[in-house]
Amino acid sequence: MTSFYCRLLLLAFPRAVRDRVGRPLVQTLVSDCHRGSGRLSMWCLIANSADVVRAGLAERFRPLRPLRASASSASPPASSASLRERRHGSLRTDLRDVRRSLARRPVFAVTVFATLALGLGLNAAIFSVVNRVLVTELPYRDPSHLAFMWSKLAWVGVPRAWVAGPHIDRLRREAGSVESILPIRTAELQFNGAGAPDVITAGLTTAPLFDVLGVRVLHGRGFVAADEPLNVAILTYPIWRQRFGGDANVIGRKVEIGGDAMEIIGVLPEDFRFVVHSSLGNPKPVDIWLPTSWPLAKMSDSNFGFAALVRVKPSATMAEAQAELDIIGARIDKERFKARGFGWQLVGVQQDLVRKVRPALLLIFGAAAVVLLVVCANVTGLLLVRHADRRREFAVRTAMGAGRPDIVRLVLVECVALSLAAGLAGLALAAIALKIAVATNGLPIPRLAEVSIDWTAVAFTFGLSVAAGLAASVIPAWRFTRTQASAALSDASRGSSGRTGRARAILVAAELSLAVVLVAGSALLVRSYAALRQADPGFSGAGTLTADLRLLEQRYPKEAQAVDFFTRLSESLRTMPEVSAVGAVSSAPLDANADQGNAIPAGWIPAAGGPNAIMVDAMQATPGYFAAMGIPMIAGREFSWSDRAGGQRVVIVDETFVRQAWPDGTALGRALTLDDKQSAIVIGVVRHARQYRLDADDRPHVYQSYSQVTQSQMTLAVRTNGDPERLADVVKRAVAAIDDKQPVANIATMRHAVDVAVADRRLQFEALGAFAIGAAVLASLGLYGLLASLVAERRREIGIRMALGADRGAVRRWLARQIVIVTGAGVGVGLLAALAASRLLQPFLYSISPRDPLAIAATVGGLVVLIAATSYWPVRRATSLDPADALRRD
Amino acid sequence: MRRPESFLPLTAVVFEILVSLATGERHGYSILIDVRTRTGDSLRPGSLYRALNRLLDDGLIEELDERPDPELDDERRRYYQLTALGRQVAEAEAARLDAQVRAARSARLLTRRPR
Repeated sequence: MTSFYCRLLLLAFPRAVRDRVGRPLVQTLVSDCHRGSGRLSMWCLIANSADVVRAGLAERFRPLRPLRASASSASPPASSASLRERRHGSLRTDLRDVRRSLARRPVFAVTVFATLALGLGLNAAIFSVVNRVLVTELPYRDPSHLAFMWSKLAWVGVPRAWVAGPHIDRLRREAGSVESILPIRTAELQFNGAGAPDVITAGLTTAPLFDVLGVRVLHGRGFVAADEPLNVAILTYPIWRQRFGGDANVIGRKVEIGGDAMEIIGVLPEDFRFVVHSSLGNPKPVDIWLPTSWPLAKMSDSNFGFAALVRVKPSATMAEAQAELDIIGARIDKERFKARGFGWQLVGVQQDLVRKVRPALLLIFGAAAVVLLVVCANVTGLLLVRHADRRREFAVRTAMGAGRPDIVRLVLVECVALSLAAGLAGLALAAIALKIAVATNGLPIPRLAEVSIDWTAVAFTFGLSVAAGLAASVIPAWRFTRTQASAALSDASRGSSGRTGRARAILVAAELSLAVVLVAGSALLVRSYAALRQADPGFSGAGTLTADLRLLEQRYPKEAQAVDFFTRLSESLRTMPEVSAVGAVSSAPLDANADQGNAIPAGWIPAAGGPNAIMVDAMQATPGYFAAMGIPMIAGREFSWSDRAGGQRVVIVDETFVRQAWPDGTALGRALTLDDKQSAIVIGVVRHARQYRLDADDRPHVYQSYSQVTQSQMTLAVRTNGDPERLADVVKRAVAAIDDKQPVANIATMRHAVDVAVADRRLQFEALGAFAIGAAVLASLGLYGLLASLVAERRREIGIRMALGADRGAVRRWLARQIVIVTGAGVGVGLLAALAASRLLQPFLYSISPRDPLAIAATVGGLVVLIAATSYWPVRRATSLDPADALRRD
Repeated sequence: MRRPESFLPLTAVVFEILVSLATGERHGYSILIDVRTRTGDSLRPGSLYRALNRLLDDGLIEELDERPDPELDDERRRYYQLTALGRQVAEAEAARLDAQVRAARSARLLTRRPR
């Protein structure tokens, strides 16, 4: 890529020079811009690019070409010294002309430069993100042979479940195209040893993970097979910096993780980023890696408990591996799952990581391209106006012997030169914008931290600048090949050109229609976002604060002790005046962390051929949880601390479960059995609180009472009538009063959890909305320019009409007709295009039709207001014209 | 062969390149770094190679084989060295500049004594 970009730049030099010093020049350019650090220096790159082009062009035009025969034979008027100096025929003189003519019209030059710079910069920035996130391979050895493997459980409608231990064991033995397959799990573990006690995310995997990925450790060593049962740990770069100050002597130190002493044996490099994918929730970054060995073959084959990383043999392709997995999967389906549709699916690591963000990025990329089109149309309009002013100049040039190709080249060179300069400025803008985006890290895009302007982006912007410059100037250039010299010279300076006006009107209509497409698209996304925010997620967490509490088995060995901890914590928090409700649950809404299990309702008759149990999210909750999370009770009661272990098991189910298990609607007092085979009585029914996503998620929930079934990882929920963030210290103090060694992790409000859940949709409508506003503003500027020059050109005609008795109303009607024709055509075509394109938006919409009438009405309404506002001044100027004054001016 | 004086005066960039090569053969990147550190100017690769190309044209420098630079990155690089004519031109320019500096000094434009 680098050399491709440099070769492009080198085209500025004459061929002979390229052949001689091209190669060493490229080498030197590359060395210079990567000075020392190996990282590309943006400013050096821009300065060097400009220098190569300048030096190359200077070299190309070193010997001044003689005057063209045609130019010298036409004898110039002796009085016009400056004209005699003009030489038609070389790029060098063209560039000089461009510099001079732009300097004469600084407002024009700055306007074109700024719009192009913004348009090109926008595209450069988004291209960089798309290229890095969607195209650049992950930094692993041969990433095209690395994949995640997901289980497909067709009969319960789960296309993406983790993988069962025995299946991994079986594939290791049977799948010939698979080189290795690793089970991976994450665990939230308590961490003591550096800094305050905290909870960290540990990645658990078998030893060869880093070999499979092809990643070398920064310090110390990686895992070896003998490590598996040992207590050793490898730190990721961020935790090494934060907790150990980046000390290389950390190797060999002992720390306490999850209650066990572990020896640190290695530190991973900074660019190592491997996320463990949950089947439904968001990928999780891991703080520390621990080698683990599991008795895979002996585990339950219906517990899909591992993320699975697969390396396909170099001799096989991903498709061949998938075909083999299909065959083995079908065998297992028949043997174990009654052929109800079990299988596996391999998804490349890269594809898997960007699965959710890919469509949105492509949408935004497309929208940015539309903005650039509007920019080009706008610049074309400006050039047409400007060249209308220059018709005399061109006519004089033609009269003096400039050929049409000379004039065309002059027009093209002017615009391409401006566009290239704007492209460089755009790159700088993009570099700054990306730095800010990366620093704030607020966008829900994986690998965003790696994004920067690189050679590929520079080459892309270079090409795009040339293309945009040519696209914007081709119509003006073509028009001037048709200008008759004599006509232009004789036509004084009044210069009303009906054809220019028509071309500009068409351009403005085109800009408006492109703007309509973007505005309509973002209106749909805004409507969809509003609908999502208004939809009932089954809980109302506005006043709720959550915090993760993991009770260590070593310190709370007996279930009764854990129950006692939460009983005391609940009581102490409940007595605080600012707290209105307290509870805890094993997986809070939107946490995507619930355990799946099978529930069999008593007396339930499975449908023929259907599943013999209902797959549910099984969670444990303490008394008070539903009130604290704002999950409404539909029937029955909440848990109570008097639901004792050893007594009758009680459960609370959600409405979805009732619909599936007991369609008659009565649930209270009925029994069901969970995986532990113990019969439990339903004592309450609650609303379905969305567990995975805000928009779609309907797996039934069954809650067990924490006092009967404990769970080490719990999320505390505390509700207040005031600002939940203020509760953070209250919660910390209350926990410390009971057990000062117990860490309180991940303190966050439920409002924040909802914000995170909608962040990707927010990004979509914000990006598209910003582009739409930009395009609409550009289009209205184009319209304003068109109307203003229309009024200026017709001022004499208007003056005559008014002098002959036409009233202001007639003038207004005439102008209004022009406006309605142009904008009506633009908005009309735009709406048709928007309707055609709205299908593309379908996957991004929640509960809104892509032809949502309200969104379309808002689009049309908004544009009508914008058009009216834009037209106001030109119309006013035309109608307030003094006829005598208008006539006198000429 | 042209007389060395016919090349004078040299542009600043060309003179600095000749000075750089006077101490021995170098490749382009090495010249670039040398000139930058000596003069504090930000010479850029495009201008450098444009000048090198002209110097080759005029026979003031010549190309050597490509060979790796072990101190840099071991990539193979094209080396350049002064020709006899190039050395004479550089000497002539240095003498010309020296005469100018001496004139400036006697006009008390330079107060520091030469070492």
